[in-house]
Amino acid sequence: MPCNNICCGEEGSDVESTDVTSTDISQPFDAASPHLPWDHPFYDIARHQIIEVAGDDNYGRKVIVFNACRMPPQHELDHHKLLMYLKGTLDQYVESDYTLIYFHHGLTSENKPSLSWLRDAYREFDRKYKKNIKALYIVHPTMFIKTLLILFKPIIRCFSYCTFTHLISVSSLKPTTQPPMSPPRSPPLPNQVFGVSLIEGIFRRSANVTLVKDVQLRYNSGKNTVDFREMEDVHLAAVILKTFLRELPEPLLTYQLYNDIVNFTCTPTPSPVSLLNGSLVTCPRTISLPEENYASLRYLITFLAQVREINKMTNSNLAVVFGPNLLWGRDNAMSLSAIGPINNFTRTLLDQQHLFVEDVTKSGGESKGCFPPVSSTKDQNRDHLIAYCTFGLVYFDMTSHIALHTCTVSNISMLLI
Amino acid sequence: MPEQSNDYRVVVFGAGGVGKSSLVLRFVKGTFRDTYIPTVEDTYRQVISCDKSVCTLQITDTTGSHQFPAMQRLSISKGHAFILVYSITSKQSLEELKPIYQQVLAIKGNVEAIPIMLVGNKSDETQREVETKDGEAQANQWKCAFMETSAKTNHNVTELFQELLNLDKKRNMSLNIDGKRSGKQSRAERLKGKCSVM
Repeated sequence: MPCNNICCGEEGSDVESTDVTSTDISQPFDAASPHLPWDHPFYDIARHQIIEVAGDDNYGRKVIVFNACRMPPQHELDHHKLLMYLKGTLDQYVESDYTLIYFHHGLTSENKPSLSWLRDAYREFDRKYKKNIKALYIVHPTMFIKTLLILFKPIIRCFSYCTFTHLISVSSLKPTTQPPMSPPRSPPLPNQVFGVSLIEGIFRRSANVTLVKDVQLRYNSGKNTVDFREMEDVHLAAVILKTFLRELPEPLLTYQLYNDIVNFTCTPTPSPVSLLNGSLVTCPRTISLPEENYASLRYLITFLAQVREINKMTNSNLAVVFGPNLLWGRDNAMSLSAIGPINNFTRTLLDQQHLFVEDVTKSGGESKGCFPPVSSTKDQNRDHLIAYCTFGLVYFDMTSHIALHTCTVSNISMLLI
Repeated sequence: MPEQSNDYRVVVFGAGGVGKSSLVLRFVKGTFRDTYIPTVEDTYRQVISCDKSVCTLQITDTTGSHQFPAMQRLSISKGHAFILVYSITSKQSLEELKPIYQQVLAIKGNVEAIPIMLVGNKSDETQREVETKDGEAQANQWKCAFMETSAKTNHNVTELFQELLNLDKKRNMSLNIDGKRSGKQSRAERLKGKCSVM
């Protein structure tokens, strides 16, 4: 069959094409695959790979990607068909939650769709499509898009209550495991110096206990109605993150590894990372950290590495405040003799944060990035499980908020691309 | 509660970053560091005079960043006297002392016999969130003593510890090892109106 593979598929996407013979435009197709049979009516649309189903995110939601840069010049593309194709793709997923990522980069006057097309598109997508969209990411937004979003914010809000709209730059997506962190909006804070926030003692300071309880309750009730931007206290988000980790039924570093970690001699070699991913040669019996926990930890450590220094929180400071939230003993009695090694271990993890990144590239850039963690939940009752999973859902939003307020200079310059 | 042992244990509680360590270090070493390091837990010892003899004043500087109920309970049950520190620049830090006070109350039962000092630290700071009268009111409610201090300018720091020792009626203690109790007589002069003792 000629030309069927003219566009190479994304790695990991399911390359199972459906066998269809009819030429009806409404005929079914497998949206997860860009390789439609050449006689399929959507073949010429699909081959551009403008719309892709990139897989599942960490909450198991489908991620649908729209690449503006792959749009061919206007005259080469049947925009009506594109809309139908988009609808057809979405139709297969909108019944459950999904995330839409829009890569704005590459949209020029050459390939830009007409305004009337946008209007048609807006009309085509009724409530069915809006209901389950859980997040809309706009990557590489231009000033125009940003302004537009700010202007239309009230309208956007009213039809998609639960949708977080994130504006992110592409570089924040590298490495692939790192979720977007810095939505470039929100007014400057009183503590800002040259646009860089200095939140002294982030993760050390405490927040209003009643507010913390209230936010926890709201998360646990399953309502995603917490907006940290409204609360104006970045320490609140930080405390919630710590509380979440501390109140997990089992610590992120697991009881199983407790003894190994407490007795671990923290030297550059062997690295603590090798203990966690099970590649420690000298200690073959070591049980490695479960995959979800490892991914969450990797995300957390990478995130913390961005927070430090500028906020007076060095690696060792962060380790003091985070170590006891990452690991504790089964009897819950924390002895001072254990805290020392645990904090030391945490500090070494932060020092060797780069090893996590290397580890990702080694494992083929597989992008399982964050919560929900904790492996052995079998013995936990269901309610508890639901409670902290819901909590974990918004982890994303929370950490992005903290990152926003504690941006380092490099973050800022990243946003200005 | 442990009876008359040779150690007199003082435990310092308070939210993260209010200056617990700074207070303790200023008292023990007479220095002030402008660095920023959260504490895990440190204990300092100093010899003081006690009932015409000497004993060890043991000061436990706790962590403010995370609470482990078990560890906190242990410190409280072992402690003889408590210093509850907040920062006058943070109303929140005063709020955070409430559960700690409740915990002391729960473990010790009758707190009236226990020396407790509520301390508003960072009195040198200009961005005040907690007025002196607010601190006094809280201390009144808790039936404990109150003082404002500054570890940075060394204001009321030694006074704080001496006053705490004076609050203990069961022993006669003084920071001066010569055995002479200099506490009560010159108290009013020493405190310069910055302290109110119930």
